[in-house]
Amino acid sequence: MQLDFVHDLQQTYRAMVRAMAFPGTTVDLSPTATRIEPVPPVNAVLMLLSMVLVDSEVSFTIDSANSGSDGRIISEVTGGRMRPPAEAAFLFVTNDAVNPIETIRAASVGTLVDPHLGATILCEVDYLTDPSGGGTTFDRDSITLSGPGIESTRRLVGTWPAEWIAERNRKNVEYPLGVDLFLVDRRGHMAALPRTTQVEV
Amino acid sequence: MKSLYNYAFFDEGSKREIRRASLKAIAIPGYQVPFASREMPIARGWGTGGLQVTLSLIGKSDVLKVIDQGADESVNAVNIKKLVGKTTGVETTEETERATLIQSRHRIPETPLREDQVLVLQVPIPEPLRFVEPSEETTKRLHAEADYSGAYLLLFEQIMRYGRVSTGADHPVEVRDRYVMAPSPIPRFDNPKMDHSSALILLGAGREKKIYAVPPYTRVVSLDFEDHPFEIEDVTGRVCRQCGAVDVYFDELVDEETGETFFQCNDTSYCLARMNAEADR
Repeated sequence: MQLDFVHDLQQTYRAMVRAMAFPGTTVDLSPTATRIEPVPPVNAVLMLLSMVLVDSEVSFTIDSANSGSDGRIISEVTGGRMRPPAEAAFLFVTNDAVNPIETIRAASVGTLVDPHLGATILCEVDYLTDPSGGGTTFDRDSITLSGPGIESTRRLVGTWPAEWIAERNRKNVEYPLGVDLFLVDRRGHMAALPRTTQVEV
Repeated sequence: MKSLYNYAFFDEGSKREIRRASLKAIAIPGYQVPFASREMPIARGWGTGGLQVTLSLIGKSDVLKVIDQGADESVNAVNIKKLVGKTTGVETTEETERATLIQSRHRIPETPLREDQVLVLQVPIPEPLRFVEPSEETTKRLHAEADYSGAYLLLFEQIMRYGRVSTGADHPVEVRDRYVMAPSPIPRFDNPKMDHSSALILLGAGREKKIYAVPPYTRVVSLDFEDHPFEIEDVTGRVCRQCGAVDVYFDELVDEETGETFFQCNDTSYCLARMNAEADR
């Protein structure tokens, strides 16, 4: 079955709202993402999120091994404009990104008058899981989250480059300025870390 | 169902713009995110902000409840429910527990909300500093600087004049120790329900073109002074004539024949549920 641009994207948006409202909870978007035809050259869930967020009114950037061709495809599908990282509203950073730290560092944090102009960064990582469901979580990175949307603390476990999270934390030192982060893993699981989420390693 | 409109009335581009604004609103609790605010088939000032947020959220599996001043059957609620129903075909309900999406004007339901529900509030004036500062450019700067003396000044003047805070509704709140926010014209009675709410609360102002949010489990404090602490409306001694409820928000009504005043739950579906439970017993 092909992707339904109305209902599948609505479902995806609701999953994003839930992820933002309850930071660190994971949701499996692979059943929807696998319906994208033809199979996209980038992570299918990143592609799916780009369809929810990006159109001709906003700009994006992508840092991947083939950012030129990957960016052109996102641009063709969504109508979004490719811009350098510092000018992009949405920054896609894949597993094979060339300069991921520089890309994240360049992201806009907005202004005190317009903090909503802070960028949204969408990163592809190896693995994400919400340990509240049980199961083994050994030999993984683990961060403890607190802030709005989290009753006391919540743990997010997975495999990601620690310096990406560290750079994200540095971008968010001066609230309300900051960047909002979506993490997507290779299996199609997604979690969000809005700028309000405090991260402890 | 053959419909002349796109699903949920809007074209997909309009939904995308509202969705981008809503996600930023959740990320910056209490901050008013500007959005384009589309023309709607109901007049601005009649809940178009809430309606746009609802239409950008709603999907096939949702169950919708719409409340107008506590009532599911008053004109604003019925019109919005019909519009959303006709353009989506979703099921509507009056039972708070069954709803996944609740749009409300001027009340938060008595029944506690859950994590799997989203509350959308209609907002006429989203700017808590508007009555002290008419310029949007200036109020945006005041928010940037977290200069909220104007909001306190309004409360101070009320205390000077009446000996107490006289906000009937829309008593300003501070969200997560940063932004002062208009909670929409809910009674003070409902303000504490926003603090560490289990459900996400999205607020939409159509005429003023703003979307803002209170995420779940977020600190929301009503503004007050040490010597004039915030108080909800006093409902002690009041009992609902229909269902016998206490500690809820009431409508005060007059019996036309006897001239006697009496109280009744303002939240009609809460009242009805209690009466039905009583009848089943």
